Amino acid sequence: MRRCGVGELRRTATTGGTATTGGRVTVAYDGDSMRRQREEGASMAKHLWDGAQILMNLDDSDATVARHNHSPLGYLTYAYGAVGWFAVQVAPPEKATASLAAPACSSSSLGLTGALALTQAAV
Amino acid sequence: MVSLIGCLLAATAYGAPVSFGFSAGDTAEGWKVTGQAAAAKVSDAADRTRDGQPTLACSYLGQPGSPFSLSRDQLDLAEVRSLSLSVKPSTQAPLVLILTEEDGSLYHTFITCPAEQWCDLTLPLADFQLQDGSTDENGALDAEQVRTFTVQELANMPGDLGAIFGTKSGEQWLCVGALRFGAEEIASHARVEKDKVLIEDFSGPGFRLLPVGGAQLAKVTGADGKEGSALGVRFTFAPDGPQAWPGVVLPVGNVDLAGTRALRLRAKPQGSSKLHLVLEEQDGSKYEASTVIPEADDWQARDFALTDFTLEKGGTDENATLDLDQVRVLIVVIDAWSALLDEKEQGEFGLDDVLFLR
Repeated sequence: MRRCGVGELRRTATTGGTATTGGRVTVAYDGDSMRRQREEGASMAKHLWDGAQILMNLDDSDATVARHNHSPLGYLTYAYGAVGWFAVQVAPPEKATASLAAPACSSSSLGLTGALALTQAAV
Repeated sequence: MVSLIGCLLAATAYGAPVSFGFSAGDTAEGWKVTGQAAAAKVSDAADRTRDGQPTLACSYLGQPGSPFSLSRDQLDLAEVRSLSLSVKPSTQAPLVLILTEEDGSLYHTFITCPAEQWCDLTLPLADFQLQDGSTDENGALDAEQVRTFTVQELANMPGDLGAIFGTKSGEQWLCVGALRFGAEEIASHARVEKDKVLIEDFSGPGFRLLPVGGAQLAKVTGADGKEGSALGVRFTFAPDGPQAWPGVVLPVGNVDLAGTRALRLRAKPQGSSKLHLVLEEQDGSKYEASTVIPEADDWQARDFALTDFTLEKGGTDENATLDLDQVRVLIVVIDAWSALLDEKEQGEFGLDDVLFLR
């Protein structure tokens, strides 16, 4: 693993095999420690950021090859909602209503009311 | 003689424990399971026994959207103060343990058990927190009102939740043994001391937390140099969605944080990495802090003043202030875009000694 300054990029990390045997990957990071570029063999991906938001991947000719939606920490809105999901599944109706109103529950989890009950079976 | 009488009196005063012993030839009558093709039976197969004793062996097919659970109802847990159990899953299993009172109030705590290892846990019922969205007449778990015990796996949750807690496919199994509700008063996993509140030092068996973002957990050598005394979080880079934020969720809602002023932890990323912390209140309000942990060969301690935690962008709270008596979980994640990865896009960071300073 090797690191050095490269232009606006503060450090690079190279892992894997060698340039001749293949498998070698070099990743460059900016001053905020965020990944900006990845090279593997002849393939290069450049990552275009807007502040803390990754927007897209560009190839070495700056053509867009992928768009991203990396909303910082946004998914954590759902994390605890997963635990709350069970209140919807197993609680009596009045309790389930309270859970449905809980802000931590994601919309994706709320559409599943009764799914568990339908699959539950006595052994 | 005197000590013998004392022991007998103590045993009587505490009441009888509720144990589930599994013997060869027993059926799994009374146990309910959910999940794709889920089934349960008492097994004495060599790889399913615990200390030579048969266990309740559950099997199911891993299928996204169809999480596995195991439950037992019609319980009478009067006088019970603690729960102990042994769990062995085929693959890493993030589990929620749920106690349901007769009025439907739900209390939970969570654990994660590593693949193909017995995970022996003993925890006080006081560690169970009121379920998100659930209500109770007194906000406290009343053992005599508990009627149902559920072990719910979080893998294969529907939708985005599946991406957060992971998915499993193919044949899976999970064994439960030595399940006992005891009358003994035992100390909470967290330790309240004069100058600090220790949330987690990762020295105990299993993991009293949940992995998120595809994190695979392992025991690693800790800051104290002891093998297996710290948490290793392994992950595979994904550019979008939950898997860009691998980490863990630690329960803290059962701990009195009054008087604490800062959060301290030790971290050991493989290279310079951005670490994010979230303290989440019971109403879902989230307060965040972040730092860049520079590259180093050893563990690095970081202090986060609680005043440095800010309400998440776009978030709301009734008073826009972090209320320690309302904090229920601490979430620690790494920004995978900042992590040093190997050629297979896999990375790892270590976590140890998570505590609040007074």
